[in-house]
Amino acid sequence: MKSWRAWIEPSLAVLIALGCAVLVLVLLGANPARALVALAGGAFGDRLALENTVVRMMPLALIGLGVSLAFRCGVWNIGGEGQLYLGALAATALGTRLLPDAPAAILIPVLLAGGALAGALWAGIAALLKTQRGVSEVLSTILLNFVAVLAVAWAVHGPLQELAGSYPQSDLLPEAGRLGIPPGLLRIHGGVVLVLLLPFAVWLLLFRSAVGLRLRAVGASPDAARYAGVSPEREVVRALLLSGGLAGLAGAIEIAGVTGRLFENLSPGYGFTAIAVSLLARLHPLGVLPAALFFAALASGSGAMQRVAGVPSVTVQVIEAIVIFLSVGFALAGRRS
Amino acid sequence: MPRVALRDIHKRFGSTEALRGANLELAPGEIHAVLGENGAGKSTLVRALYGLVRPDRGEILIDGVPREISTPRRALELGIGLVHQHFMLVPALTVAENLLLGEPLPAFLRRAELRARAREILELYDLGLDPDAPADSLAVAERQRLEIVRALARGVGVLILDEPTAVLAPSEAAALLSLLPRLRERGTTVLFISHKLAEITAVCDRVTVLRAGRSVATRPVAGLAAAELGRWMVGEALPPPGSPPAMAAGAPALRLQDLRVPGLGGIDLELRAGEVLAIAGIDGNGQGPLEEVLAGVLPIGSGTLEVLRPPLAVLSGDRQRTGLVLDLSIGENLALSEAAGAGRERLYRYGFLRSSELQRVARESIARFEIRGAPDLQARALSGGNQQKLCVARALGGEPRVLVAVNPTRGLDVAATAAVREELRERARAGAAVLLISTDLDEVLELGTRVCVLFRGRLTAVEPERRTRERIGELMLGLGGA
Amino acid sequence: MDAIGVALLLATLRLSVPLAIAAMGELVAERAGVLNIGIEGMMLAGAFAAFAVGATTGSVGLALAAGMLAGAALAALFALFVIGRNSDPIVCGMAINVLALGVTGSAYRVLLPAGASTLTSPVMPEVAPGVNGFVLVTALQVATVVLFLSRTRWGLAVRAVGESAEAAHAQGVRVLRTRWAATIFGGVCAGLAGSSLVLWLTDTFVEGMTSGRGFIALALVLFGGYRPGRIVLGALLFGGASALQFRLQARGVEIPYNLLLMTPYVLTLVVLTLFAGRAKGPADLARPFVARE
Repeated sequence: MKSWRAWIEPSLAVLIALGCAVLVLVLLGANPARALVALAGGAFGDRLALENTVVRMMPLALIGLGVSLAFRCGVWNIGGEGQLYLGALAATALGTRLLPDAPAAILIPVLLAGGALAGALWAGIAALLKTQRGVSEVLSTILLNFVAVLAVAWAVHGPLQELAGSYPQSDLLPEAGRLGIPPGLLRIHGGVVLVLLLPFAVWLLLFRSAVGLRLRAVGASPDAARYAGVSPEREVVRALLLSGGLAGLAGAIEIAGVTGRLFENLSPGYGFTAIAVSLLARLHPLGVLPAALFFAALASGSGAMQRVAGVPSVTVQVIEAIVIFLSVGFALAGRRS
Repeated sequence: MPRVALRDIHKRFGSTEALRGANLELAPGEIHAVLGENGAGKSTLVRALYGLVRPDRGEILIDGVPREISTPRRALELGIGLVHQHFMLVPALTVAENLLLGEPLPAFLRRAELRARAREILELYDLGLDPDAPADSLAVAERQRLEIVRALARGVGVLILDEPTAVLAPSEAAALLSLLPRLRERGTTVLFISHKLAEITAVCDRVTVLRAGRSVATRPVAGLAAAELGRWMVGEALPPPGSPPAMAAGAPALRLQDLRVPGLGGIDLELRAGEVLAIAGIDGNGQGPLEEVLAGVLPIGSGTLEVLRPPLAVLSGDRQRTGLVLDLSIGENLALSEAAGAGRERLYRYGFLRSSELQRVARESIARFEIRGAPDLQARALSGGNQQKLCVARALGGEPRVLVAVNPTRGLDVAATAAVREELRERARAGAAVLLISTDLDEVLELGTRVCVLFRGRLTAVEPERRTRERIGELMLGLGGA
Repeated sequence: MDAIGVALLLATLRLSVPLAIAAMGELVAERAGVLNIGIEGMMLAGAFAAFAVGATTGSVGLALAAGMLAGAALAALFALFVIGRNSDPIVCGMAINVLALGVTGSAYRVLLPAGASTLTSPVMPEVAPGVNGFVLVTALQVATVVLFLSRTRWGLAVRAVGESAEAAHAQGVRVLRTRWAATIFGGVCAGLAGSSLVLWLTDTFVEGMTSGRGFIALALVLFGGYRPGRIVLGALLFGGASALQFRLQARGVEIPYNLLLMTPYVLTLVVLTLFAGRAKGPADLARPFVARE
């Protein structure tokens, strides 16, 4: 009843966006059928493609989860990108410099926790600025993104640069810090366990806990929440910390599971795409998984589309924008008083 | 031919029918009153005439011609002006800018010219205001006068005054009333909205009475008995008013001593178990800050506030803004106070919800307070009366021994009103201390074991032996010296 | 003044101009109550359009017109959702930014397929020795906005609508039309600012070349407390800081390059921390308006 209706609107949004994409492809002078087939093939065509898609889905899902959580509290975390970078930076510093000799049982939890903490603290700056100084979190998180990206650039040219010193990148994490590949059909790193579990945890938090009710009450009506004895400021800080923590965790997982080391341009804009993910998921923690899969497929298929059909891979951002517009324009999500 | 005629106007907002067949005719050059209780549809009717409300049905004729008035701009073109109950000046703009806003100004404005023109208008209407003063620096009566002058300067032939005296001090109200015959002499037709009989009999030519969204009578004022008007206004079929709970000299439950916050100038009050202390007063005399400080939302400036018999619950005066989170379900609204950390651990264990327990509690409340809805229904989907019952259910859910109720029946129908009032009485009988803050004089008289009046942030007790509408009315206007 | 000082001054102007133009446009939109965080994307679209038209026609005039038109087009899309449908301005602004990235990126690859020789756009001429045409344009634009807001009846309407849409509406001001116009003006200015990046700062287009300047312009509006003079001052301050950073970098001063690049963003954050709370914006900023119940 209600559950299938929740799927209709997002599915429609995706279909309309793909329809618009066909238009754009025609405008670009490409053969739309060929381009879309290449896109799908690049995303799901073979095991390698599928693995690539799932690996890209993970940071999108985690950050999108955090964005949804913050949105539910009426806060805009546009800073997922920066929080991801900070999480990656922290994980790298821990793994390559501070604890290079720790065993896996210690190092992996420390890396992930450190990344989450760094992301949370980075978002915490925006939370403090908002609650203490009245600075809009929209602007501060955007600006903090730039600072974080540059901080990583500085780190890989400076203190965290590989000891060989030839490239602007960090050393590889020690083997004990890398996420293993659990047995299964796909060879994907163990971060997938967290990515599948955390949406349920966030769902529990939002809809089955006192904290979640407070967060949602503040998001829906700060005045009424305050009357009921809830401190909106405290919930806003909490929501931003949790949201930033999830993005930081995504950064740590990227390092420990995918790249093994830190370098510039680590993220192809996961933090921004995650906003579209969260809107397409209608801010629902579980909806984040299929939504992230969709955008991950777009991203991983776009390379094949460029090779086969000659369509620039950035074109998928047009689809992303259209999905966002459809999500808010037709009141699918993103409602705020 | 009537100057203005509204025929069979209907308007529904969500689940409430504001107008259900209202008729109104204004003769040229008359002062015509529209009388009705709170919620009778007076404001909606004039807002429809001014293009701020789109009627669902009915027609509007100006000088005999049917007109669609879709915007205030159109209304002004047709010579209709409105001075709102809540003022419509742009606070950050100056007097001159407000005065000339919307006028056909030249493309390029010269400060000196604007100022001169504004001064000219102000002098013409004998209003000594500084054209360069920001509008938010004006006193209430000055703002109102500025709005009236603005409408007249635009050549408005029909001037609507929406409850203009509600916010004025008595002398200011008198000055305003004396202005109306002068407008009539100039040929202006005035539509005067009020729920005060005395004002209407003093200056108006004819009166139309609205009751529950319908126009029930239009009569010349001359020779009309006030009692008759009053009967039209409230109708015959009122339930017999209950009487205040008998005074039981209970223990002190809430004590305010020289409490001061912005808008409240030193409140002393002692509320005892088993009584209903009713605070009357015209809106805007400190009710807002008093509610907020009791709800713990506004920090205490100075003085003390002691809750001697906790817990204290506040039944908020604005159910849509502060009373409920409209996007949450009935159950979630009931759980919110506990989630906020107040009250006992009943619905949550280790911070996580006990769903079945919440369902049970919600069903109980729904049954007990006769709320039409299921636990998972969004509060937004409830009618006003059911929302208010949910607010009551929530306020009483924690078994408060001090209950603060602010305008608890505003906007409710007769049956819901009676139910809520009976609930408050019942609470007091059960030993709770009830503080009722209400702008509804009938409610105050019906429920209050003791009555006080809030005027300009100060509280005056009504002497038990002088507990009459007239006496309370005097105090509400600050004429308490006698 | 020595040569270095002059060079620094010129660099300051070059870097301030895009910020000032975009911020003044945003100021008008915000004074009308429209918060447009899509100006970053509108700048980018303006930059690309100016580049594409300039490079293919060689005409600076056409390039400018194209840049402004591109900004206006995106602003119209933004207004369609935000003013027309009361959609959330933050989300729509972000969508505009993403859209601009995608569209300009795609179109750039089409215009300049991999391996093709590079294209360059013409350069805005100087109006006096050492004074680029954009300096004049900025001066004119700032003066126009100042006069517009304080001395025209439309400016009065814009301010009234931003402070209290309801009160303005009750006086017969056309609220939605005013907001539309202010938003389009903001878009035109953003497009113009983007054009200046291509026609003055560089002579080519780079994907994502605005690199946050639109966001800094947004912050400048707050920094300047919604007053034109202070906003221009803020733009000069930021331009100066960036110029100094480039200069230090060129001199090989021992400060890591990336930390220097951070300065404008960190400076904006610091300034917001110090001043944002105090800046009293238009009372009806980012509040939707419904004309009739």
